[in-house]
Amino acid sequence: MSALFAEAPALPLHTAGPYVAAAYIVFVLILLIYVGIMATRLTRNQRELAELRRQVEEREHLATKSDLTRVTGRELDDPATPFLSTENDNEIHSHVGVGGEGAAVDVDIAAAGEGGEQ
Amino acid sequence: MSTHVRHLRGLTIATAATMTAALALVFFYAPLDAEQGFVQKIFYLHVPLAIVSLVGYCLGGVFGIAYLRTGKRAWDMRSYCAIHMSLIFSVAGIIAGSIWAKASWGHWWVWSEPTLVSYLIVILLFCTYQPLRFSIEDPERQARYAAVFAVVCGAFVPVNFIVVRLSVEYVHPRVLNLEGGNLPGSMKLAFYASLLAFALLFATLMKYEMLAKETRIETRRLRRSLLGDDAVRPFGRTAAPS
Repeated sequence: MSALFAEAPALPLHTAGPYVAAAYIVFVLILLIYVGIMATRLTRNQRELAELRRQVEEREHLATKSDLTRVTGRELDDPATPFLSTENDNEIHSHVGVGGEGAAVDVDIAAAGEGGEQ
Repeated sequence: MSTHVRHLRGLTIATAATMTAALALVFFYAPLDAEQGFVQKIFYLHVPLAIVSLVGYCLGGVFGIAYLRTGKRAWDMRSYCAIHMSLIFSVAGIIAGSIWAKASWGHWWVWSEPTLVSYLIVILLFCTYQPLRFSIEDPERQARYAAVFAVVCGAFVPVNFIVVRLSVEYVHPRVLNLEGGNLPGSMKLAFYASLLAFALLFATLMKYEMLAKETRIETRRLRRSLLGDDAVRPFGRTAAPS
């Protein structure tokens, strides 16, 4: 870089330099203000998305918990009777689908065995 | 991701590369002007900004026509973003021009100069675009009225430009014309590189703005789908397409 600057012709900055610098700096400043405003909006949007994600996960968790309770007749958070340790429950699958008009959290639980009612 | 924000990364890189090359050409390749000296370097900033902004206003009108023909909201979004970016470029261009005027003419502004005043009129005209949109609450009507405004004012821009070119009394220099102008080759190369760089910058920023606005609209739509209408605050009055 220093070699490049050494080769480059010297710019006559003594008289007109401040005017030229001011013009280019004003342009850069306007650009930076615009980018700053856009960044603020983007941050707000990201925050809203994160909140949305948290709410979806919360809903998913609650729906899974209530459905599993209905299927197995046990509380999900009960440490004395862990879910995947019984003979009846050999597969628990859940997924969340979001899309379309008014789409909601869709929980699909496939529980094999006698308690496999949905 | 929508179709008009594809290739955004490539466009951004091309803009950065072209802008760097243009600045290098302006400051280290183009010779100093015999009459004005170093201050003429503002020409490579001021003129491309003015040209790109005027073309942007016309583009806003063209997108407005497309909206009125098809009724697709994407065209309204394009028209809005083109006019928004043009306003930003115009303000930067007029400030740069004013600094150049002070350096070479000794005045920040010359009211008797038709080029300056007509450009100011165009800027002030398009400054009313946002308040017009803001004053209309219904999104459909807002988009339709804004499109009509963009078409009429977009048509005014070339008419205004031609009228000023036909005027005789001016002090503003005419360096570009249909015969190629009176710029020497090296200056012309730096100028065209600069013009390309600012055009690419305009396109890139416009696409980023469209992406940001679309993401915002999508987030609200998703929120409404998941949590119901009550969970989303109404847009209320906004100048941006919603």
